[in-house]
Amino acid sequence: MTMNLTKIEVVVQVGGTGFQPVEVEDIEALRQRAYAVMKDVESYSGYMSSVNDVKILKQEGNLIITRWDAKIDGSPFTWIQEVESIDESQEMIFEAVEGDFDVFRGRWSVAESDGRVELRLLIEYRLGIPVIENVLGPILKKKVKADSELMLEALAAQVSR
Amino acid sequence: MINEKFALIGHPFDIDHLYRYLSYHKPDFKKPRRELMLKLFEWTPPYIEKEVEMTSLDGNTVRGSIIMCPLLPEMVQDDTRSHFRSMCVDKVIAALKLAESKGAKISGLGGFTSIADGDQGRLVARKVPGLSVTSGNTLTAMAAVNGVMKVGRVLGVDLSASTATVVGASGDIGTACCRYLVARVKRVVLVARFAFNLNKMAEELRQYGKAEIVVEKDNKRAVKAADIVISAASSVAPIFYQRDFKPGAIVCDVGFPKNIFADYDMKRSDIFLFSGGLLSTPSPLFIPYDMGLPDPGVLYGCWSEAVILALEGRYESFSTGRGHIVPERMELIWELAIKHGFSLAPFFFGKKIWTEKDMDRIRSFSIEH
Repeated sequence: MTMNLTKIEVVVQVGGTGFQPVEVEDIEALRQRAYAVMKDVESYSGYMSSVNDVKILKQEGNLIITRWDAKIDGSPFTWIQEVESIDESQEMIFEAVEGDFDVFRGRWSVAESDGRVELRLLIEYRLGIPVIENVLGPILKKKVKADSELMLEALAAQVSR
Repeated sequence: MINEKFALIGHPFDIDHLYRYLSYHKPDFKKPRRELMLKLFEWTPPYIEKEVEMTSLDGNTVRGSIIMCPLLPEMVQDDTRSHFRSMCVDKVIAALKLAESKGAKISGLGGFTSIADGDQGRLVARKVPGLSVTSGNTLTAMAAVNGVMKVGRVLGVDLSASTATVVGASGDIGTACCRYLVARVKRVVLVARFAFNLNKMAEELRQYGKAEIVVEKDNKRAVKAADIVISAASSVAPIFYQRDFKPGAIVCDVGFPKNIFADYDMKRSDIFLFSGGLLSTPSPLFIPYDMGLPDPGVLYGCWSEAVILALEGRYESFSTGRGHIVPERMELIWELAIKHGFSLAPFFFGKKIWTEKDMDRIRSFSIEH
């Protein structure tokens, strides 16, 4: 039985959609600030309601191993992931090495679009549970997407503080 | 011509059963943590598990669907979280709507899907007026008492001199069994979790037969003295050990999940303990995963009733509401069952299938005690 990966991509603008675009000369500074906040994963639990705890277990250069204790629609999920930070492109590529998912990987990134700074989160996952995953798929995807949006919105708010 | 006519709605009997069911579909799948598995199952909507067919003795074939209603007995019975019960009711309604959308004209409610609404499916059926809904309890009860009577005949037990204890006596199946037995045994002992209903029930039972009626509050004491036990309690976990019964006792466990600890191994060789309320079918359903049944030609009474009614072209909510099953209706559904080639299932419990040799051994205990 083959089970496909589910892919989710969410994008949130720093400053929200109701704000005027920032000055061009400020953009780079804002991007740097957004990326710095994004990289500070151990602080996530302080302002993301769906994250109970993120702990860095190991760090070597631009590679870190983190343990996540988070919630999807209020239900606890835990996993350990490897994260590679690529500062030049302002992105963090992650992949779970153990935990509740059969596959859980993706990318956090900071980007720029139409004079705005965007925070992006791409997730690909598979629980690996036969039968149920196919039936549950659209419902779970909705829940994961909703929580991902909340995480990015919290991150954007933290950048704007 | 084969038409889509019936739907059989069911669920796993516990979390381990759910894991076994999933493992059948993907043997190497990594089992999620129990807490997570329960949550994912809670989020899962009802779905068609398998398309099946049943061919009657007369050659008529009906087609149907087995629908998984993702709930567990522990969710239905969880009094600490009231939203569970209402979620389970919603799931049963969704399962019935799915059945209707697949063209089913009658649906059988298996296991706890019939007790989720507290009224043996009557309330959930109202939400799907185009579909007949039956709990199957009439046939389940008849198969249980027929099983007990058959074992009694084989073992040479004089039923008219026997004490029969019905556990879960105030439930739908338990009440039906009591009504049937009071005309056939010497004494009927009623025991139930909510004993306050039983005195009224004892009065009502007198119209069905002359047996002495005894109301007992203590489960263990009630079964210890019994020659015959029908255990039909809606319990999420076993409530009896095999040591609780007297030597020579005929014990019929109708529970889903089972009321009596089995460990899938018969520890007592001096009692006749069997899974009751089951039927042999005229053609196998070929459900490949563990259903708690010994072979593909055996089916739960609750599901068999819906199939029989479909074969008969009798689309009615035959067993619905609580406490309405009477002996005449039990005999009627049994006649229809026989007509279409159904019969009493072989006697088994867990992995133990009873043999003539076993019966000879138990017969000696019956005579001694």
